[in-house]
Amino acid sequence: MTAPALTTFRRTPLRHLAGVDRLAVAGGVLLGIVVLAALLAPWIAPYPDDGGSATHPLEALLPPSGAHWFGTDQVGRDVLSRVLFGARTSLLIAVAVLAISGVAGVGLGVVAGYAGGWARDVIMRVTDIFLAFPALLLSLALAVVLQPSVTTVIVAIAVTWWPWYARLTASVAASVATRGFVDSARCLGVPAPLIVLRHVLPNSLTPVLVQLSLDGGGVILTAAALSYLGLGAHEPTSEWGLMVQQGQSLFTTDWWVVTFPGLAILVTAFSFNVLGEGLRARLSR
Amino acid sequence: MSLISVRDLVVRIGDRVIASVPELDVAAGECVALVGESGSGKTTTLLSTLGLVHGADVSGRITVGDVDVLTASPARLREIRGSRAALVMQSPQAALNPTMRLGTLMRRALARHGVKGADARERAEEGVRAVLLDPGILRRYPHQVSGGQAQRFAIALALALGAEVVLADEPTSALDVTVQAEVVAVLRRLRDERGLAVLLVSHDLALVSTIADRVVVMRDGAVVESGPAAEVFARPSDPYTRELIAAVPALPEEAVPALPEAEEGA
Amino acid sequence: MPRYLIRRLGQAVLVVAGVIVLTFAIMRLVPGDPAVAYAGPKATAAELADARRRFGLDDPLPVQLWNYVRDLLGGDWGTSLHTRQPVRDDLFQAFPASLELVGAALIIALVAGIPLGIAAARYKGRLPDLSVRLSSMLAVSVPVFWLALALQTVFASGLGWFPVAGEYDASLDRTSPLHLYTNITAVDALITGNWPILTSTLAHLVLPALVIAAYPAGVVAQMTRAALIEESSRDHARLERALGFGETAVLTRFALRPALNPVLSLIALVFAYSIVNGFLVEAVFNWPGLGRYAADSIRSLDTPAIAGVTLLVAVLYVVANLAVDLLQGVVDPRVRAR
Repeated sequence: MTAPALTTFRRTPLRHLAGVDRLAVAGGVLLGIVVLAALLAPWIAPYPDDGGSATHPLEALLPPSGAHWFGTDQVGRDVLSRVLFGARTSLLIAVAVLAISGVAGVGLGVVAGYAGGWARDVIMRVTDIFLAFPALLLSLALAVVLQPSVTTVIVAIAVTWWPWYARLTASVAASVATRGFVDSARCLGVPAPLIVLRHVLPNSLTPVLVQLSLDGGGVILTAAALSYLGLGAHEPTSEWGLMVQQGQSLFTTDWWVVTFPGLAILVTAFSFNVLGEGLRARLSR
Repeated sequence: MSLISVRDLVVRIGDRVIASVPELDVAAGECVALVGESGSGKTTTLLSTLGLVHGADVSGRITVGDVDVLTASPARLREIRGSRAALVMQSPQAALNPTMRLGTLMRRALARHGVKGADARERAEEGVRAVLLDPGILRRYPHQVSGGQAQRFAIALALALGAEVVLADEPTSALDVTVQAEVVAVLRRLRDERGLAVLLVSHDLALVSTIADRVVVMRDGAVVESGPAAEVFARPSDPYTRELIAAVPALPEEAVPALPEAEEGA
Repeated sequence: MPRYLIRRLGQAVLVVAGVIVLTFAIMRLVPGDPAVAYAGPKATAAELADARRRFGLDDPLPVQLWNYVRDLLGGDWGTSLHTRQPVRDDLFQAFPASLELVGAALIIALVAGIPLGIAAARYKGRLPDLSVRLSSMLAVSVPVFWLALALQTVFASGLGWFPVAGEYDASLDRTSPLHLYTNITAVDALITGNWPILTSTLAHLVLPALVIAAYPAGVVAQMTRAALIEESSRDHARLERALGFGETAVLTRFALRPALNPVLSLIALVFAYSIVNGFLVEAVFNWPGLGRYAADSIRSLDTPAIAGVTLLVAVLYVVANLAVDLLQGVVDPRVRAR
């Protein structure tokens, strides 16, 4: 091989790579703002009580103003406050789903990838079956038969999400398992569970972590859709999908009731996607 | 009059000089070999003659025919690529688009240079026959031909386009020994019979000795020795050249490879 | 190829079997008594017992599963609790409208996504690239139900450019009745030359199809871009440049075809995803497809109907995947050779 990089190495990629880093940073900053909003909601929300069940019938459906930047909803609650509190619900769901499905998927995936043979076959066939359902469909079916609640949303999405991580981890773990240091550990008589825990697992995690950050947006969107269909959070919880559902008949007359919660979903999902894209581009270098 | 002429070529990436060639000429009917190990700058030199080096600063003067490569417009450069000097790459199958029949690639390349219709068909078949392939190969996809066939097809492309020089970048290193010999034999014949010039990049001195008229030895981007092949091989003046020659197990005295049998019928 | 085909078919059958079992399992998770749901809260003990017998709820689970599979294969997909019709008939009626909507959306997505991906790859790292990447990330981040409401409010209710809801103007059924062949309205209107219904359907299609197209268009643009960049850094692209082709020609005339392979294999996934996204959009635009049926079923906790929709979409997805794998043989001769 003689100077293989020549025709692919151009002047632009340098700028491009810098752009990718900027992308990851921009996504991180945007997501950071959402996280801060969620954490500080009780203190920064102009009307903290409106995040819950408070009602102010006399102030119903006021358009955006100095007192209510995002206007007020059907029962007079401050939409900005509810959007801020909604960030808590959405991020809670996202973190819980990613944690549960990440742990389950990585666990099964490492076993499948390291053990190989029938264990791998069985686990992979099961993931095939789960992956035959589009995520929102399976969560929908599950959420319908369970009682509508935030917990239901978390469980329903996590059940549909883990197989992706199982597949990803299995393929990475399978390649890690053939590396020299794993072989030598095996020859030294290190028990299999210890090899998996000490060597295979830590070396298989990076791609999964990138995928997790890419998937945050998908989880947020799925959760919002479930709540929009009335299968998730219910009154008086502040939840963006639910807010859109409750306000949808008012869109023509009182646009702010629906517009701001929808934008909140968009911005949060977008920040996850931008961050994930940036990380992926960085790590695939 | 040389077909390719290089003067004071310097290729830099940042502050690093990756190739520096004070003088290099390729005349009609001549085979010039650039030899050296990986990273010696020989492929860079080869690619720069077609202006295909990107992301690096190229200075000096390169002419292909009457075209000054470094100052020519991109459109002018694209005109001479293929039609004046054509590239033959190292890995024969990877160099061919997997989703395209060889004939389609040939037809598009000819059309790109203004040859269409019956004329194009004729040139294509003629080119393919000249490298001793059956024209039926034009209906095949790259994965349906052998490495040697793919490499000979690349040469056929050059011939059909009317190229006077073939720029061959390690054309045989991905092939097994007997197939290597076939490709070299085809190149030799075309040089002898048609006056096709060859600029060959190779680290394989055994191969070079069977075909090259002149040799340019490169190391770390610089030319350490150059001259007629027989002289360089017989009396290497530079220690690095001696090293390279010593590394070749047994340099064949007179290894003239056999031509492949022409493929007919099918 | 035959052996590859057989293995691939075997895999698909196995997955469908698993899908049936999983669907059955989910539907048996229902906390309440399905018999109560069917017979109503005021049912007498005798009516309940009758309902239990009818649904076979007294049998052990494996027997119930066996009966379920037998019924499915025999064409009995259960009876919807809210339409009181056989689920199979309901699905048969609703599916063509969904296919019409998602088909239109995917066409929009490909027509928009592929050229955008090409433009991004052509000007990699420059402004067109950045704007395509950002807008495709926006497209995959937008909540569809919200986008549907927003477009409906602005362009239908507000500006009146497009109809607010439905598949076509129902009054046309009287003036120019439609003969059904495929049950896909736009197609039937086209082949029977029923222009009033065709134009009305197309006008009704625009907004919901655009909303559903957002996600696949974003995915297709990103995928096309990535695949083109990868393909144009390969050896064959270097040869094509050395033959005198410029960057644009290398991308569109040579790299595009192999690059479309990964894009194509994505379409099956995106198709199924879009059908489900359609659930949310159809409900907003009152489009008479699977989605509206599913949304109605969800509202009335109609488990047989939901099971039917779930099963149908999952099987569709498996079939679409299979079709794409076979289609790849057409696009990529290497696959054909396997």
